Amino acid sequence: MNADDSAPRSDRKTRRELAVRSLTLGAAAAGATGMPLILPLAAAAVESKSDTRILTGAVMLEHQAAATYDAIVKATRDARLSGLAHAFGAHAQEHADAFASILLQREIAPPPPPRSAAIKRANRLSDGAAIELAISLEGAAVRFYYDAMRNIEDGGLVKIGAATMANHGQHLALLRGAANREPVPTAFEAGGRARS
Amino acid sequence: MASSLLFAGCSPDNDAGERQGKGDPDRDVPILALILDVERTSIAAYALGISRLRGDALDLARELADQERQHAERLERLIKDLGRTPHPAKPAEHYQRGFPSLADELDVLTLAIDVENTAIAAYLDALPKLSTGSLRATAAAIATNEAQHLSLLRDALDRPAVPDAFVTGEG
Repeated sequence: MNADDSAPRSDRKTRRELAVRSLTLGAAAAGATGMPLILPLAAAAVESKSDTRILTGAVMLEHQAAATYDAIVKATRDARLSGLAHAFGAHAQEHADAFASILLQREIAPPPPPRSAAIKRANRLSDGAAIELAISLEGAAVRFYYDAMRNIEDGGLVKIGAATMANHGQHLALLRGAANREPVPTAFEAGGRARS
Repeated sequence: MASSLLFAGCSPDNDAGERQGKGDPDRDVPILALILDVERTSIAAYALGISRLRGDALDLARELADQERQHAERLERLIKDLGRTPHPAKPAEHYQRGFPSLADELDVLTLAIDVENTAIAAYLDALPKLSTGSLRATAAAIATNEAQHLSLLRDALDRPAVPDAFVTGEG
């Protein structure tokens, strides 16, 4: 999806529906593996006008991504996929820790990581399913931060959010390549549904 | 290091609140013009380097250069939407003045990595200053695309494609 924000009529309801849809797609992929279905909660958070709620949503999203990659590392025997998942999971954990730290500075308790029992159920993924799951989650993550750009008040958070979005965009490009797709199919990476 | 630099600017007093509408021409046009200049520099870098490339590296450079042109066109359109006229692009030699000499593929891809990093840093610097959420979202989508370019270029040089969790353009 192109980030065609210069279109004369930008409809907030449509944007909200798109955000929920893209994150729900990620949630559906996660749910198929037994992952906790927290991404719709993140979608609701990103549409709020509260930096605190958006930060909370970001921590939840990044926890989800870290847990997903942990499951992929445990499930796969493919060295390249394992290497990507290990690195990307570490990045997601860094993002979660950074946003949790900002919440704590604001004297707000960050959300806890998902329970390990749910993650263990995801260990039977095939490599192909694992890559598709990761593409869906990375697309949802890019979309989350793209939508957050509209609603974050704090300029420092805008910058951190963009740096995090860019990192998820890099993950997405490499995962598309691993799935034999065009790594960078658009000049305006706004995430959302995985494209072929 | 990169993340600590980012967090240093994180305070609730910074002015990046969303405003509706297309934006504030006096505030946004100079910012957009600056990043348009960065995009034109990237286009000039790829134009200069492409003649030294072959095979996969050539295909990659052509694709990335095309996306840089799309960014420039979008920025020009955004400036026009704000009621101003974008400065015309200068001759390629103007942008290429500061480039190193390019002897081979390694030189070209290294220059491309430099210009992509410069672009990412410029977008991250510009983002909090833009007056509307819509402009910020567009700028972030372009910055993310530049970060993807960076990964593909690093990968082409057998360097780690995604070395950092926060992409700041300072790498």
